[in-house]
Amino acid sequence: MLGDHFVQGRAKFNDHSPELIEPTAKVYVNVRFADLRETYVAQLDTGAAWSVLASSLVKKLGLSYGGRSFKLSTRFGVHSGHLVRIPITFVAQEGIHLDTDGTFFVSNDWPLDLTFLGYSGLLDSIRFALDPQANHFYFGSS
Amino acid sequence: MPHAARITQTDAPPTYEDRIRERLERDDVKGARRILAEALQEGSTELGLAHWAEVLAPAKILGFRPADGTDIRDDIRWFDEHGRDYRGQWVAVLRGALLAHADSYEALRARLDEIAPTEYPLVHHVK
Repeated sequence: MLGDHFVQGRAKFNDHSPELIEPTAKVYVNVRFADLRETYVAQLDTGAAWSVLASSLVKKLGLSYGGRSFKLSTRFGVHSGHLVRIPITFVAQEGIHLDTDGTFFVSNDWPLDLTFLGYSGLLDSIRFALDPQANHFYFGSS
Repeated sequence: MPHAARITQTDAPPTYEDRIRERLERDDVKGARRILAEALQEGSTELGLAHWAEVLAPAKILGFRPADGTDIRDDIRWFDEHGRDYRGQWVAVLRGALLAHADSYEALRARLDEIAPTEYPLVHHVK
């Protein structure tokens, strides 16, 4: 380690989710949204331009969005939707949780009930690291 | 009587919002942010720019709280082993054990409110 303050939180990650069966391992972490008293699984996807919110969470969070939509190309097709800003918590098992806000793409026709954590407006503003051998996800403020 | 000349929509210069959306559709986030900065610097009063300024801004750190998370692998293992028995159900799992399940999210939420767990369960809709 370069220092004790590189990150402030650590949690285990999993290599698959109950929602999506994929041929290769991915990184799934626990997150919470706004004031929902529940934890959700989200895929860490540094290659995605934007985070995408699971379809059921749009309703649970009571999100309303206006303005003009745009089309986002994803590996699950091209979807028309909006960008919204919502509070999200990176859940720690050790250290401290990180409460932040982030920009998420929401779309009425998003086919998955799975959230993706993408680069712009979220991961590009925090510090994070992975230890794949130990399944550790480290995170903190940059 | 001569007709007034009609200016077609395509003759109008693209708005800042048009340009931002066009960049976003090309995954050019930096380009979208650059156009937004240009619009704000020039004092544009174009409607919708406040929204783009909010969603294109970097994330803000809101705070920190002591860790109370559990091991995600225990909970996902439960879904791997038992999920097929709860197809179509909303399920809450905590520390690798079933906490509650229901036909709808609202019913599950009501059940969780009754149980009032001291920790936050993992919630998932089993397909």
